[in-house]
Amino acid sequence: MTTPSIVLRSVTKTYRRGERRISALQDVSFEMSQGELALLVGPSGSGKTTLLNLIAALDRPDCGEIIVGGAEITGLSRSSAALYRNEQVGFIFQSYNLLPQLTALENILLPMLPKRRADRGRAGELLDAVGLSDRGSHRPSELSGGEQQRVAIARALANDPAIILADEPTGNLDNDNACKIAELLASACRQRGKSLILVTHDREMIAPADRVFSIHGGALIPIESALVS
Amino acid sequence: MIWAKLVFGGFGRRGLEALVALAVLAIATAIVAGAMMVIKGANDAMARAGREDRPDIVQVKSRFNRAVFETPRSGHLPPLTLPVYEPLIDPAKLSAAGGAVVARQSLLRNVASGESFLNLYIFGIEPEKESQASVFSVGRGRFLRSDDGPVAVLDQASAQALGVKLGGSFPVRKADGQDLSLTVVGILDRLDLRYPPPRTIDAPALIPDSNYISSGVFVTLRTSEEIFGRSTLTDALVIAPAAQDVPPVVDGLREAFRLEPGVFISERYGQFRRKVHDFAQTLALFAIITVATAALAGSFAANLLHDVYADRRRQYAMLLALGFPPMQATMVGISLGVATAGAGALIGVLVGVACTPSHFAMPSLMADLGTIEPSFNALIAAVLIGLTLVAIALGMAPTAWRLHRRSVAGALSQEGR
Repeated sequence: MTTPSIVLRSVTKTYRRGERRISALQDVSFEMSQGELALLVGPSGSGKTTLLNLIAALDRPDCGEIIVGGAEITGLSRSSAALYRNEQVGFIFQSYNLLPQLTALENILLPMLPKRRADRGRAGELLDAVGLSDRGSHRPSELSGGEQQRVAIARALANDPAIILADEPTGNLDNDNACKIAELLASACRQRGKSLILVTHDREMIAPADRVFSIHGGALIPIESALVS
Repeated sequence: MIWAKLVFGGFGRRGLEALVALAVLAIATAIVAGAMMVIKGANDAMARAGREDRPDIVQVKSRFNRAVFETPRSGHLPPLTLPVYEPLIDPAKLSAAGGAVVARQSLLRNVASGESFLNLYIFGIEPEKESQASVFSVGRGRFLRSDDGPVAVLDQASAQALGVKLGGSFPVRKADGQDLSLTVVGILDRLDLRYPPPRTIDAPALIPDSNYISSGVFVTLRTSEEIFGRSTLTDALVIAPAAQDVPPVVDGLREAFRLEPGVFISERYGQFRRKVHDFAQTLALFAIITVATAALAGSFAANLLHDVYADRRRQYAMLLALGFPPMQATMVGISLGVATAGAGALIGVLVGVACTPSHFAMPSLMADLGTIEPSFNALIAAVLIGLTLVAIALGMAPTAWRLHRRSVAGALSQEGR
């Protein structure tokens, strides 16, 4: 039996919008082993992004425990959370979030800067791995949406993190590009033994996943992959 | 290179606002630097005028007797003892008003020099006290000491006219008709006697065309009393504890000498205060304009920087999301402000220093306070650095606060809208 790399226990998160309280996650618990590929599906506003943000320590739960690699992350200070994100998490955003003033290669180097070990060779290899070896000197505005997301995937892998969190990485892409990106992401994670949580509302992307979760109204429901496909 | 791009790249249309902020700070800094340099120069001029005018000194002098100057320039008449002022001041009354008393006996002596007579001013002084009011620059030898006997210190012009050198001596006729031999122990190369008597007769002078006496022979008060044969003073200075204490000191002196019609009391404090008052009001207006300029331009620049920072919030949030420590992400932001505002301030300082005149005079009565020489000092540098830092802090604070207050996820989603 493999050791779980991500453990969530009774995690709850509520947002306040003025006087209203919106429950994003309610008593969510799940475990995930190292190297597993999990898919998180659900409609908009169901709490998918919130769950990823909590695992990435971009936000804090109201209550509950999140343990990553055996360490509790909910009580981390801002500096420790930054270090955790830098070393253990690769995050892929729906809107790519590439810095417009940097080239593709420099965007991949960006997560390496806090530790002052900008390895251009590794960044080049990652760029090659996502099929953009000839686009390293191009700025995001000179790349297509699919190419920008490939750069974002390479950036997420830059520090060789144990976990990749992808928040609707294909949301802004056409079907053809979306499939290619999903396959690229899945294969990149499998080859490198990374745990991947991929958030999508597109059920056609379920195929490569080991496990599938559905999230509705803040509640997480496990679904058998084979059953869905 | 990536760090430079992180700090300065991706301005987009906000680049123009950053440039305008830089220009505004440059102009504001130039104005503030120039104005502060002028204010400093003006304050220096006021302090210098205070030192030179010495408004804290009150002069007490006896009636001036013009008749005594009808002295033959040559011939074989015996030397005469002639006072510059009449010796009417009782030293005991001077101390009644408070303040430090600098007593003097100012004499005019007609002494034999070779084949002719020479008019010489002789001053009986208290060496240590007189040095508080007047300037004596000893070129050779030494200055007088209070315990000195029949010795004299004289200026170069008088020494040359008398034909004496350091260590030499010359006779001075006393009131009793006997000669007193004075030994020269020091020769002055510069003399700035505070409240000197008027120069009404041909005598050696360090400043030939001056209306006031610029040369003379200085002896101790004890020696001058021996020459003069009297202990009453011809004139004296009373140094008030502070300039603002002059009015009560003057009142006290007037009260003490109210029965002496031949004694006059004069002060410069009143005139000096009027001059300084006008000057200070002009400077205050200047300072208000400077502060207003600094506040307006600083807040305008801060607002422009705020727009630039607000536009880059998402970038800073992204850096945090990618695992940049908060301090490192903050430094990226601070570097932008320091570089932009710092460049503006530096340009402004250089322009301000280059364009401020090296010296100028204020108009009308204020011109009496002397030339103003604007200058740059550490305080001005500190104020300008402070102004720049405040502009950066005000520009950056809302962005820093929002990034700090919210979670990284919240900052990313909020700034993404």
